[in-house]
Amino acid sequence: MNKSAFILCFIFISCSLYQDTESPDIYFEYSDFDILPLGRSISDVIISDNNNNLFMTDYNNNSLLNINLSGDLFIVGQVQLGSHPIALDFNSDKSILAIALEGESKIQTVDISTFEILDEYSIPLMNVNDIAFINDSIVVISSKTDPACITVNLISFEVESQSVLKGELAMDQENNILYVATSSSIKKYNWDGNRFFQDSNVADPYGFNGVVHHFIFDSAKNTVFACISSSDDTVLPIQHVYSYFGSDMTFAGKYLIKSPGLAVAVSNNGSRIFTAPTDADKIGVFIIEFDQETKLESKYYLSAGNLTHRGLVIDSNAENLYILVNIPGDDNSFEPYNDFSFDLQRIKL
Amino acid sequence: MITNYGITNQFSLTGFLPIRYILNQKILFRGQNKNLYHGGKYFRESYGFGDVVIQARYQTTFFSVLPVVFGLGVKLSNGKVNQTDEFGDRISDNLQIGSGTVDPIFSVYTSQDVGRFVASGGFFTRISNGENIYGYQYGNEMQTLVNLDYIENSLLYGGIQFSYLLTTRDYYEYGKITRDRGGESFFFSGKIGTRATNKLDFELTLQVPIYQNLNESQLTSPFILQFGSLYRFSS
Repeated sequence: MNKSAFILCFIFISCSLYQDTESPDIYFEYSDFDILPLGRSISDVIISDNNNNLFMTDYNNNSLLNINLSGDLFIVGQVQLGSHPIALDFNSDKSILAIALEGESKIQTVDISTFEILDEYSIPLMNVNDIAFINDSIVVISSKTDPACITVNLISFEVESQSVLKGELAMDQENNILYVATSSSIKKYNWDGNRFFQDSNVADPYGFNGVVHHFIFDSAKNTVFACISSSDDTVLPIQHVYSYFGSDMTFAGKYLIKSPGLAVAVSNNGSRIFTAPTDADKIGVFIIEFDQETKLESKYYLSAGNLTHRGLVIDSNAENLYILVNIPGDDNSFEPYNDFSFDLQRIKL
Repeated sequence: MITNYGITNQFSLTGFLPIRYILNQKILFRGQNKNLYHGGKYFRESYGFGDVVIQARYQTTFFSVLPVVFGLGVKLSNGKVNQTDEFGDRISDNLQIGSGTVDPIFSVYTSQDVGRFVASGGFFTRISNGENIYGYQYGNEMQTLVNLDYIENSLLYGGIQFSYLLTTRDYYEYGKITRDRGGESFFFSGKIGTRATNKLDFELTLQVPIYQNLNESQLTSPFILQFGSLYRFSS
């Protein structure tokens, strides 16, 4: 072998040492997600009957947003509301939205077809945190500071104080049952057409002072789901989303997500449960899907950023998941209005 | 800084003394760092003298016309590998200015005058010599290049270069793959220089990547503009 052939052979052998046979991992950037940039502080979200629109209360801008969901995501309309809208709920045919205001003692109703305010109702509560339709003419309202809830008749404007503890509300309209996630336990109240009465079935207390981030009722399986964290530093971090049977308020499931739940959504048939954890894992923030039967994780969906309470909605066909996401890049700056603002992300299931 | 000392006409010693500054910024999500629980911007930086490379070079001539320079050396492990973040936690290995291992280095270089042109080519490789004390192993590195320089007169010269750089993945302890490291790149470079004095040259080089296939997501530069000078202590 002559010298030049030797050199070529050496280079070839050296090159062969560098074969990289590892498959590249998948890595996503913010722009890879299906995102509608909003930059808003959203307090509550609800989806329309036909899955074509998403309605959101914008807490900082005192407005109601209407988001188009068919095709590209975009803002269809916006209604100016009162001070700090905090929660919203649909009536039975999803034609009217009732909106609770945290910043004034008032609630408002909005007609979905015209997207205009229908009426305003003064209430004797301040620091309202949740609202729910009992039926098409009466809503129940909870406050962070007043110990008892009230009901408001949207036709007669009549207001009544109820023996219902404050908390997050979830209404079973079909059976006239109100579930309330209080700071200590889940309560069940039966509606007799005029007043609420506490049910004889009482759920066990959490065992700590809880902060409720989201609370929903699933009619398909007659269960309620509660996302709770502890406000007590001496309690070990809460790592589950809890569910209770509506019939007797016993434990129906405990869904391990390693940090307190911020939001939960259930498919229409009740078989798929989607949870939004507080903490990210090392790779990113994931929505975790559970199987209702096994109570085990079945899928993970990568989100574009941190999640928030009530910021998770599924459409009725279980085809799309909508989540509110926050990229914390600007959160620790001193620029005004750029802290903890949220965008809307769509995830195809 | 690069220094070269010729002991004889055939044998010389070369030292590379890198001064490095690394700044990394990333966005953390909630819960990913106990010191920055709610997430946000997270900065890490390291600076100082990096790993020194010492190489012995031997020049010989093949077929009476082709000069070839063989280089054999080591990359030392003098660079710091224990820089910490603002919270006192050690930052990632690939952000440290040193690698923590002594690695062998080998190079071959040849050149040929053709009229006013000088054609040259070379090959350089660094083989990773295992894990450092933190269990991190850097990937191997190989670079090949082809140069064509043109010397107009004693004052002005210029040239072009094609180079290929291949780096393999890094690994954590027990063989876990490091993301966002390794890949291959082809570069094209243009160079213009002047011999200011018999002892001092100035050079301006513009390097542009023409093909890159990198693992996962890596930040790259659209071009690199480099200004260099060469001083000969004796000529």
